[in-house]
Amino acid sequence: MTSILKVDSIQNAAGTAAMTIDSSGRVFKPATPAFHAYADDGVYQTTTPIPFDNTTINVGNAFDTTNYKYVVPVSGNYFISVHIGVARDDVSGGESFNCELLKNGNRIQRGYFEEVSSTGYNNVSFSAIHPLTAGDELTVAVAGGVDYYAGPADAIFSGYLIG
Amino acid sequence: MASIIGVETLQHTNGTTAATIDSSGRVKRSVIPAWYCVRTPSITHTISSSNSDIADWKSDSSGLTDPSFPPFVSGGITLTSGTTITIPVAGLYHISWNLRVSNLGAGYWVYGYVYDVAKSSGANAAEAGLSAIMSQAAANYYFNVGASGTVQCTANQQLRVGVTGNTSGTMAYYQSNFSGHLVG
Repeated sequence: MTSILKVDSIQNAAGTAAMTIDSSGRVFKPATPAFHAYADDGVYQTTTPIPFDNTTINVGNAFDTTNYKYVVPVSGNYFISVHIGVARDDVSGGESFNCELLKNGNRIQRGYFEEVSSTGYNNVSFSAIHPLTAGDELTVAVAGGVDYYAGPADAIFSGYLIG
Repeated sequence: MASIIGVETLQHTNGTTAATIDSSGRVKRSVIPAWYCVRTPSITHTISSSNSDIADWKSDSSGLTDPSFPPFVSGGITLTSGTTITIPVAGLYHISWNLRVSNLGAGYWVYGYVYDVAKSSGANAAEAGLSAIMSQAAANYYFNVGASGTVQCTANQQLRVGVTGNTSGTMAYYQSNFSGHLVG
């Protein structure tokens, strides 16, 4: 016989809310570590690491907007996304854009393009599941000469704990 | 001592199933607000210097030939008028969009974005959400422009994908999609 638990809210033994279920059966986990950080200098720049100095989501306050890094609060598998929506090559003859997700200073994912013969605009957007350990530090670094636009819709670093 | 409950199904107190746990410990949510839309076959969207909404998103497989991943909406998500996704409940969502572009003039650019209908319109929309730009030096090449990220959404929030450019150009229907789901 299937065991069924009817409940609207689940807490840990100490009373901290972990999960709620609404009347349609939708599950919410309000304490899930998650972040959405963006750079909003409003200029084209090559600054590295990318100065993500604002957040719209920072569940658990693990994103450090002073040092532009996410400090993993609890070990697990995380879904991490990096989005640079406007990358400008303003040198005729070509520049490159090398955008890297770093874990403790070491590259774990990269997006890259190279404009060989002309100027123009491009974008780099990548995401993946990464196994991370509590205390790991994630930053985003760039190189290659192409400058990116630091805007809230254009330079975004986000992610969440899957489990 | 840790407190443990052995259970296979979680339900709301009204009896609606919310999650199941199988014998391997895998947790599966039963109701997930989510959507995966694709553009309608044979419809071309014209890019211009004015901001315009993609208006031919599909949320079902009608008119598609054996799609590998059938379009859908679930968990209270709605698609209206082929343009607007409405979020049913507040929470963290992961959103992704991608537009396939072709036949753009030489040296021009196209700028796409997803935005909150209530907060932005026209040119402001491009700065309102997840946006990306792409340009090319030679005409008639193909490329895509897209973005993804984890964002905070509110109940009844309406989302659209818009596009603009500095010349005329077209987007074929294929390889364009708009998707998202409730993280929690």
